This record gives sequence, structure tokens and C-alpha cells, in this order.
Amino acid sequence: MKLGVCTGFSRLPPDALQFEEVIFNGKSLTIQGIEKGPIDVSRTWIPSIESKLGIKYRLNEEIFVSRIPKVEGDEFFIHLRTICNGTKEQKTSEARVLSNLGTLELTFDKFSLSDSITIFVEIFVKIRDKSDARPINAARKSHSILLSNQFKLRLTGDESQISVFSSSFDNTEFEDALWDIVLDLPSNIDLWSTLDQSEVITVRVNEKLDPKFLESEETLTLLLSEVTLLSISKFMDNEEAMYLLDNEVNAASWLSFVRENCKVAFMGEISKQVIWRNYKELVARRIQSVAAENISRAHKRIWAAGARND
Amino acid sequence: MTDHSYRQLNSSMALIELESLTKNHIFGFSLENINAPGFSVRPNSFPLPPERYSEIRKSIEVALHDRSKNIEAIASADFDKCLIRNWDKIFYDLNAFDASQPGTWSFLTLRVLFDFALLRFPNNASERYLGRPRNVFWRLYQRQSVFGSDLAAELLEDEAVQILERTSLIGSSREVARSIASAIVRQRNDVKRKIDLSKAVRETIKKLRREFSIVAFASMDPTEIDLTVSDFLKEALGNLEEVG
Repeated sequence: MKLGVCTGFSRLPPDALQFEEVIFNGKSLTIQGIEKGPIDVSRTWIPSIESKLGIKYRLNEEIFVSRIPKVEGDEFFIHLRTICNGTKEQKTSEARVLSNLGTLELTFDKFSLSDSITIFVEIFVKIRDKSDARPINAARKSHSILLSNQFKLRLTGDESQISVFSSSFDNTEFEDALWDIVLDLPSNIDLWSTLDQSEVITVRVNEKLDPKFLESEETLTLLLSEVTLLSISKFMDNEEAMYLLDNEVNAASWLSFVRENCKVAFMGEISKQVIWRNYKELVARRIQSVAAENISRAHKRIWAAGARND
Repeated sequence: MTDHSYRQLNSSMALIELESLTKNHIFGFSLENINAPGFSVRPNSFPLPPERYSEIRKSIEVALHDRSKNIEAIASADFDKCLIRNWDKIFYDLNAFDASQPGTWSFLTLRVLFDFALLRFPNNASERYLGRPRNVFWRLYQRQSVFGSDLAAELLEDEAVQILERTSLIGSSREVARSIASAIVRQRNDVKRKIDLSKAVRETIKKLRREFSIVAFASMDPTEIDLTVSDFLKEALGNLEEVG
């Protein structure tokens, strides 16, 4: 965390303010080491959704009292300020009177974010009495920043990742479903080879699910199998798409993903569509088996990194 | 899919297309060219229909014609002002996310509006035609989105650049950026003072950057921001007068 460049008056060290919880789009992020690098939130964000950031903080009163001179009429406030590094837009929460424990929140309109967000939590003083008779180490200017802790959220992740975010399924016909997988594909099949997985596959997970259940290898295997089968199915009844699948057209990550899985699912058989029509359960078993292997291999790497970063 | 996205050209594709355009000196807008392979779109969206790009071209043409009978002879400043003033009519469906993608500007410039880009920057550096911040259209988008059309049209190139290039403090804050722009325009209209305003602006922005790194300007009342900005500008102008 970087300290604001302030001179001539007492400021607070970064540890005077600690984050109890940081929540982005309903997901609680791991706070440990938050200042060290960007936190990847790409799995809980897509451009077309309204995003919400919430921070619960705790002020170390002992440090505050020992560093900041008490002057009658001074009031201390805290706010959340963000700069989106993609859209270059700055946003600020309502300033709140500083308390020992508190919450700051900001909502971002859909399509107003891209790339990453730098977040500043700033404590500042409003000075009523502007006379010169102030203690030597007290701020003299109203709105002087006494502390500025910052961290960064990375919105755009690895393009080979799938966009997963939690969502309420209440009052829908599938309110008890585990997830809702959406494959968004342009009608122009020529474009399919240019798409990354993150552009095509979106998974909305029922927010009622226990995160531990979702992160288990078994659940992920089930999810990945379903995503894979749905992806393959998009090709099977379309000759133009089959041509794309079978030819050595350069492929972005989504087509590559389907091609790799087809190798396993159809074991090199030429008549993929026949096998798909007549032996779908065999294809499903093969896909599940390879999904389990991949998840097992990647589980520690991906989810451990996810837990660290999220 | 629920909405449309502006089409994008990635940087390597854009370089290839720019090279071809500058080498062959031929640009022809066509719907086929809009649909030609090599572009991408925002996740979970449809590509903007080709007809919409025809509409954009038509709107620009009409706007420029209103300003000058002979479009090809339009002055650079008039070109910028004209597009800024008509921006919301021309690009009414462009959202901040699409506008933040370099590929959006590469596509627009190279496949849709290359002839217009050449009107404004004939034989200029490639950064004017590629998806870079100095792109002929991207820079106008930034100005009108930060300052609003009226103020943006009144600012000189150098003044707008000075404010916008400091995105971490000043350029990303609409309130601060507009406050500075308003102060500049007010000052320019003050006919009594004949002074190099751009020097004063440079000084003012330097001071504001220092000030706003220690003061929580984001929670200041807009009138307090205006006061700080105009005090600093007056001070800078005063210093210049003394030197002069």
C-alpha cells in the first residue's frame, strides 16, 4: 500500500486502516497480500453487468489517536475512490464520517469498466477553524489526506478462462438449478475461429450454492463436462461448423478447446456426427473422464491461485 | 446475446491493413469490407450491423457539409469541432467499454472512416490511424466524454491534451477536468488580457497535480474545486504578466 505524498503534517501509516472484507460482485476476495499485486476478478465480471464493490474496514484507533492531533472542530472522513484504467473514469463513494468499523460501497454502471480498477481508500480531515492557531503537526488545509491505501483489481483475465459469476436464480423457472451455462456464438460461423473461451462461455452459478461445493473437484468436473458437451453440440448439427472443426484453420482458444476435446470424445473416428447421434452416452463418459483428469491436474494450480487472488 | 458491440481489429491485423491502405492509396467503403474476416467483438454480443457503419459515415458527411460546402477543404480545427459537437448523434450507441478498446478505433478508422481520417491528418504518423490514444477519432471521443461537447469544442488541442494526459488525478475526474476547461474558456473570453494562455494552463495543471495528490478533491464540493482551479490559474497568469 502506498502512502499519499503529504508533507508538513502528521499522517497515518498504512496499517492504521485494515480491510476486514473486500467484496466484488458478491464474491468475498482474499485480503491477505492485497497490496502486493492485482487481484484477478475476471471470473466475476463481464462488461455487460452492473458491478458492485464493497469494503469493510477497521481503523486502529490507538495509532490514529497517537498520530493525529485533536483539534476542536476537525472532522474525519473516509471515502472510496476508483480509477478505471481502461475507460479512464474516476468514481468516488459518498464520504462517510470515520468510525472504528465501517463499510464503503460503490456501484459501477454496465459497460463503464474495462481492464482494471485501481482503488484508493482515503481518510481526510475537514477543517472548520481555519485560524493559524493549530498544532504544529496538524493539517492546515481542509480535505488534507491523512492516509491513502490502495490496491488493484484486474477485470480481464486469461482469455482462455471461462467467465463464471454468481447470480440469483430466484423467481425463475430454474431457481434450484446449480448453474446456467450460456454459449454466445455469432451467427456468422467464420467468426467462431476468432473467439476466445472467455468470449463464448458464460456460467452463471446459483448464488445459493456453497462456495466449497462449487470448488470441489467433483463439481468442477461436472461443470466442465457440461460446458464441453454443450460446446461440441454446437458443431454437430452444422456442416459449416464441422468444416471449421476438421480443418487446420488457425483457432483462438474456444475452437482449440473444442478440437482438443473432440479428439478424446471421438477417438479419431471420422464419422463424428454418427457417433454423436448414436452413442452420446459414450461421448459423455469420455468427456467426463478427460474433464476429471484436467480438473485434477489444474485444481491445485487454478483454484489455489484463485483463492490467493480472489 | 443481448446487445451489439462495435467491431474491433487487433493490433497486428490493423498494422497489416494500414500498410495495405497506405501502399495502395485506395480506400473504398463497402459492406463486404465491414464483414471481411479478422475482426472480433466484445464477449457475449452481436457485431454491430454493417448498415450501422454506413449510417456513421453518412452522419459525419452531413455534419461536415453543414460546416463547410467543400468538405475536402475543411480546416483541421473545424473538423474536430464539428465531430465533437455532433458526437452524440453520430456515435449514439458507443459505450465506454467499447470505446476503451484500441481495436474499436482501429476498425473504425481503417475499415470505415479512412478517407475522413486522411482529411484531418493527411500523410500523418500511423498512430493517428491505429487504435492508439492519439487516433484521429479516439482523441475526440475522450474530449467530448470528459468535457462534454460544448466545452470540448472550445478547447485548443494543446489545452485538451494537457488536461487529459494526466489521467491518474485530473484527466479521469470529470469534475476537475471540466472545472479546468471552463476556467480556460472563461479566461480566453476575457479580452482584456492578451497573454499566452497555454503557458498559464501548463503551470496551473502542474500545481493542481501537486495539490490534488495531498487533498481529497474527489469529496470536495464542485464550487471548492472551481475556486481552487481559478485561484491557481489567476496566480499563473499573474506570474506571467510579471515576467512579461
